[in-house]
Amino acid sequence: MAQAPLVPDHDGAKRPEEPQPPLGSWPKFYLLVALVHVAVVAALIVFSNAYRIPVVPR
Amino acid sequence: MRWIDWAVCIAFLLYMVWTGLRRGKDAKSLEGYYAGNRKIPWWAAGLSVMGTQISAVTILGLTSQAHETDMGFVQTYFGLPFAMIVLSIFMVPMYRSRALLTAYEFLEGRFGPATRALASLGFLVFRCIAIGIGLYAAAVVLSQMLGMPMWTAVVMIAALATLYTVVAGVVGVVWSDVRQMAIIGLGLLAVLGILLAHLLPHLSLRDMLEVCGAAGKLNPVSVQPESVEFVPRTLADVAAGVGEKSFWEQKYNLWAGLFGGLFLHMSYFGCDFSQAQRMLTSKTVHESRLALLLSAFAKVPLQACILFLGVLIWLFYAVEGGPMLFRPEQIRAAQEPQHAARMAEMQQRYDQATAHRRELLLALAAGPEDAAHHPRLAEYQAAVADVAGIRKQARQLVGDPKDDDDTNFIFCRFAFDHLPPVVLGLIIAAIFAAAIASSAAEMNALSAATIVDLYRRWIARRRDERHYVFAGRVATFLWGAFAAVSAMTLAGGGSVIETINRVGSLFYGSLLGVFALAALVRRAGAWAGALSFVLGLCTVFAVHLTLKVEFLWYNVIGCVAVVVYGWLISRFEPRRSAAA
Repeated sequence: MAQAPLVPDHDGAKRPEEPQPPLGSWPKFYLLVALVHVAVVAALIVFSNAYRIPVVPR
Repeated sequence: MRWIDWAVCIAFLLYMVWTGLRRGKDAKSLEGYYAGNRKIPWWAAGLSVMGTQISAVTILGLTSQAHETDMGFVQTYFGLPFAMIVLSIFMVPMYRSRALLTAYEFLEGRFGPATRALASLGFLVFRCIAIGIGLYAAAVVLSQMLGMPMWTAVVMIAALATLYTVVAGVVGVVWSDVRQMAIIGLGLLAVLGILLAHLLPHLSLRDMLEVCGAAGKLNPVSVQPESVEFVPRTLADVAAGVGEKSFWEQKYNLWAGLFGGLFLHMSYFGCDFSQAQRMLTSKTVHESRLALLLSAFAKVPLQACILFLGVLIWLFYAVEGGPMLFRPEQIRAAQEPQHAARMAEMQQRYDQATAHRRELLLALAAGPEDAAHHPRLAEYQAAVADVAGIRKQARQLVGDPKDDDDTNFIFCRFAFDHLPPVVLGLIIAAIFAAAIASSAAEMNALSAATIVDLYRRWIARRRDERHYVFAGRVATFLWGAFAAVSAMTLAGGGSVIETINRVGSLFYGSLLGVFALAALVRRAGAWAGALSFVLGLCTVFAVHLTLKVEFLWYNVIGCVAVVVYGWLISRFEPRRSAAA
């Protein structure tokens, strides 16, 4: 098995550099996270507008 | 508190501490003590990210804030999921590419030792202020509610947190955070069930929302800013009452939450080592990303639920009748002879006002029309304001003039007065657990920055691993002791969670700016890194001292200022070599 390359640490020690994985399906997953969040915020805005009752002067 | 509640509370806390302690065998090297040998599963790291952020003041402060005002605070978290995505794309690979032990080690590789030392020192200064505030806030409420001296609560929280953090390091912190999240979830669900069981015989779910909406208690989102004047007022203008309120003065709205919150959370989760440490503990880059994205999915709904719980507590008191004072020391002061006559008269007014509010609330709910069109809506809204006004007068009469706020006591008062046996024990255990777990995470991160960034880097460079682990344990113990002492000497009131965010925002934006500079301006070198960080901090402090701008925007100002200063300074620096 290939040894991971060593990179110098700033304190002088040597630590193995972690390989950078390919992007794979991450962009789609980020998009999913963003869309779910936008849906949550939109639901909160709808909820907010439905129950926002301004103060009525007497 | 009943013996059964004490038993539940103590049994859970001992279990949580034991969970942390038994992981001590993994902490034989700095890699194990501060990075968990990079073997922590993503879901545990993700729950730990959430657990570290949910401190005791989150439970006490958020529920009470919704009780006193509305759910608008949830907007602060709107930028969080986007922040987590940005961190997953840029910061995680950056941190994991070099197997770092602290976030600030990265800055040395990019800008040299001065920037690393400055960032690490900045983190130590801010975090040691925050750890005291957080511990104080939890201890002051728990000590008053449980009738124990303040120092007992402080020592109890600090000692338990220090015990397992000294022994097990970050692994102990993460696994005790997992237990903390479980008990918080269980406890809050139980409270929600109990509140609904009390309220549903009187009101349907729709009626509950309508009467709370009519009282102005919901409003989680403000899309329309209160002002579109984009030139900020100076503090001198505000003091003189001159000028129009600007866009930057509204604390909670959609735009401050999205943009200010984005920068706040990028700084907090990406650059504050008490959180960024979790990115270093997972097995792979993938797992570090998943740990962050767990919060992106769960945080906003969770915070909205905690705030909604506060609204339901308000409704519970509106239907069942509630106390005029919530803070035990104010209740005791109200019974003193010099206040007795005035308080009796005030209590009578309060009882009449709450009875009137209840009658109107039920009338609104019973009417065939929407609450918004009910003929007695204005009367109801005035009754809600009357009750709040009388409570305020009572607090001012018997409270300490510098600290008469009872915001953080409302949830605890409700728990002590209305929760059944065992559930109260669970809730008190959850509040203690949250205080212990947050303090433990902060102590471990402070210890890591002290030992890795300062002690090992500048003072004792060539010692063996056992020496550094021992030094790490000593540093953790000393930070625990410091947290306890600073909590006992602190005094302050208001919503503490906001205080912590406010203080943090003075520092976080500039710290994020240094990491952004590293990623965006390739030419920037040692001078650009260190100088722009200092200038960014000065800019944020200058804004804080002269202009009326809400704290969420400090993060944007700090980050942008550092990148701009860094870019300008880099124009005068010699070009960096490729190896740097």
